Amino acid sequence: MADSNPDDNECSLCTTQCSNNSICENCKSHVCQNCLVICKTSFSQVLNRDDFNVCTICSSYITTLEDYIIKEHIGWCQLTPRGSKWFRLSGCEKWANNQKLNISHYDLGSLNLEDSDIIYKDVETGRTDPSIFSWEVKETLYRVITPSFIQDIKKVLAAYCIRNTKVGYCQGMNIVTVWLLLFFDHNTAFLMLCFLVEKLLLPDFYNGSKHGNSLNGFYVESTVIAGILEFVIPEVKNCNMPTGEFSDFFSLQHLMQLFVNTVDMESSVFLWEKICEDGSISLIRGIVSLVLISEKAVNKGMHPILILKILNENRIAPQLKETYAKVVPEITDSRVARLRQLAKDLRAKQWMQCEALVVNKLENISNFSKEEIEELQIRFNKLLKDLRSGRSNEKISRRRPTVQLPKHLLNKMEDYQGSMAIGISKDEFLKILSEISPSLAQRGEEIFIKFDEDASGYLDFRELTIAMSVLSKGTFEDKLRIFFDAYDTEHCGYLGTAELNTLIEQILLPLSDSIQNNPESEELRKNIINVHLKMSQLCEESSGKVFFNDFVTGIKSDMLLYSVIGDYIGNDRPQVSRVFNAMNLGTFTEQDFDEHDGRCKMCTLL
Amino acid sequence: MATMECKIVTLGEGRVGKTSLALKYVKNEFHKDEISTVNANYLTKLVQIPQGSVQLNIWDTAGQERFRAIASNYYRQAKGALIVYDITDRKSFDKVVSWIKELKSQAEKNIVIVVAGNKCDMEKERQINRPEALEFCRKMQIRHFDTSAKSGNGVEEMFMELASQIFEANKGELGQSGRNSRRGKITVEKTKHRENSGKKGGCC
Repeated sequence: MADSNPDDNECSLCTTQCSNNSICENCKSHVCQNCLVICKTSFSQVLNRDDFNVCTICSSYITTLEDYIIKEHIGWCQLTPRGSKWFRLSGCEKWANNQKLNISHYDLGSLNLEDSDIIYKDVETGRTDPSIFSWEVKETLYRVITPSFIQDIKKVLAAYCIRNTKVGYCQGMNIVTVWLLLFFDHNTAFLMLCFLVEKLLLPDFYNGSKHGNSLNGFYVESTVIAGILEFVIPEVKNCNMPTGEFSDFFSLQHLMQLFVNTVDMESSVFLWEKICEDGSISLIRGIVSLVLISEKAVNKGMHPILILKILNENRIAPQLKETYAKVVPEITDSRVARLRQLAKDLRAKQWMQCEALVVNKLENISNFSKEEIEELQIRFNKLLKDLRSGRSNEKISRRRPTVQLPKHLLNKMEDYQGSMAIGISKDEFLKILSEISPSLAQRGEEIFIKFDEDASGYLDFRELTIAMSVLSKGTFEDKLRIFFDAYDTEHCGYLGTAELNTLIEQILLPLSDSIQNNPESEELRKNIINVHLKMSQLCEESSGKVFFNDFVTGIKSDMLLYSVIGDYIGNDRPQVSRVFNAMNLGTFTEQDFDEHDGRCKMCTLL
Repeated sequence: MATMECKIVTLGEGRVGKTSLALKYVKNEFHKDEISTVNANYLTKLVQIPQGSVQLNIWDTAGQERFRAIASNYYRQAKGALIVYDITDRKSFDKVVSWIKELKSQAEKNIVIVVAGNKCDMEKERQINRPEALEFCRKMQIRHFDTSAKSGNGVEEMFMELASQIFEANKGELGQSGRNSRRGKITVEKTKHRENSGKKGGCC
């Protein structure tokens, strides 16, 4: 019995029956010999192939796309003219020069297991394969794909994870990296990624810190987008879901992938140009424009996923450019800055308001027990209440936005309003820190910045709990990490020779002090010399760049270093009670006494 | 007979096959290398069960650790949750507990939870014993299914079970409007339940 599958014999283009059909190498459909053409591409060198057998439809796509690619100077792992334009335009060039950044600095560092696991899952198992990308990017990648494709992406992502362990790898970054490598060489792509995550986007945008998972920056942006959308297209309310969810669909898809793989190539190029020109505000403008383009569908109450699908499958570049130009005067820097501040306050407030949720979540991510968190919360609220009434009014009003918003938007946002000072300021944190860990207080500012994930200038309850949890109950590594980061003044993920020297001086201070009291002690002197020796040995082994992993291993493998540093960062003292005590008003009364006409500002309450 | 509409969320570690399971069930499609879900996908299917019909609206959420903050937005108002782990990956199974914990404390009170041990076509690389998984779910009073999005094994049964359990749990509400609230993102967290002791769900 002969196998007869009509699909195999029917040409999918002209639907004639034909016995010897071929398969189009691009769309994989069965086509007859008449509909099959040999397509020559200008990328044959990269692909080690001169020509492809593709159907007529694919061949015409490929020709137009190739024109576009050549016009737009897209390559793979090479700095294209468009790339260098973006590099300059965004300010990344200047920033990178100041930071003296280079991808090769991170060749030495080792990737932690968690990151390498997720990068493996996302990059090596096919999730970054061009064939599953949206059509145009896929076509582009097929043309430029090289045998080292996976390695190229991994190289950039791994370097980033080593540089910034706080952020590490976040799903969606793989796609952004593919995009970057289309315009930049390895090093510039890496610099652009650093610049994007650390400078251009809001702080904490891709956050994945071990204790946080807050994605605060992302939340702020998506709240702003939700607010603006509801204002621009009131119809979003008519769809079968709360507004927040409607805009979540848009913001998630576009924000996490920064428009790559979510709209057609020409639109992505356009939006990226705007991102480089204007910064992260273009994300908001872009998304609002995209929703405006689909206004009709929104009015009909179509599901956002369907709207996204339509946007994804059509060439919308001309419409997008037009709409974008229209929204620019509407969505101005000052307006967005104001909305962001509101959203930021709101986010912190959310954490405060839902006490049960906070306690629950914090129990998972901190080292405290539920009871301890509740205790901490009581103290935090009390402290905050006191601080609020004590803090000068000027400080609080500064946090209230001054720009006028349209009235209806104001109404929408009224829920956001009224947030007072919502956290512990830097000075207050320093006081607490000096109680718990005087040695670390030396570097209090750096430590504060590390814990202030959303860079609001205040630690909210979540941030404070995490900080306290690490400082008091954290493992040796946790504490060492804080210590290490506090001395990494250039924020490059490793300690240079100068930074290491400062660190050695600091940890030897107690020893030097005791040697002055006890000049005869040979042992102390020997210890100091040994610490110096061993540290410089560590430095030499890592050719002047000590990464955290090497730092830990180096210290743990040496009893002397371990005990000296352990003593310094207070390794063995459980200090939960000290944390609670430090949160007491007593900490503040002493120093605050003189500032307020001789009256303690806390006493004014009583 | 009335149709009940309900929202189902998929949860689990990255790359355990949440999207694949949903796709296999709704569209009978399987792709070896599904792109990682960053946004939430949305699929619907009408299921006929003996008692009536249920429209499952499946919200497929992203799995990586740090998207957990976002996932909590999605499981709001969900009637059912499908927690997926990969039988060849011990870590993904360990995470099931924390998902259950999170759902029980923060999702709707009567949420129906089922657990799927996915990729059971890769029996050779199995790291989690079946008895262990069953015992664990029995303790939690949650149904456990062995599934394979590749072969389709167990997928149909699992969604059927989920549908009928949801029908049972919610039949009192049938006829009333299921989606009356239209809260913005802003007020969301206030409404989260403080603690939830209700242990609904089937048992093995």
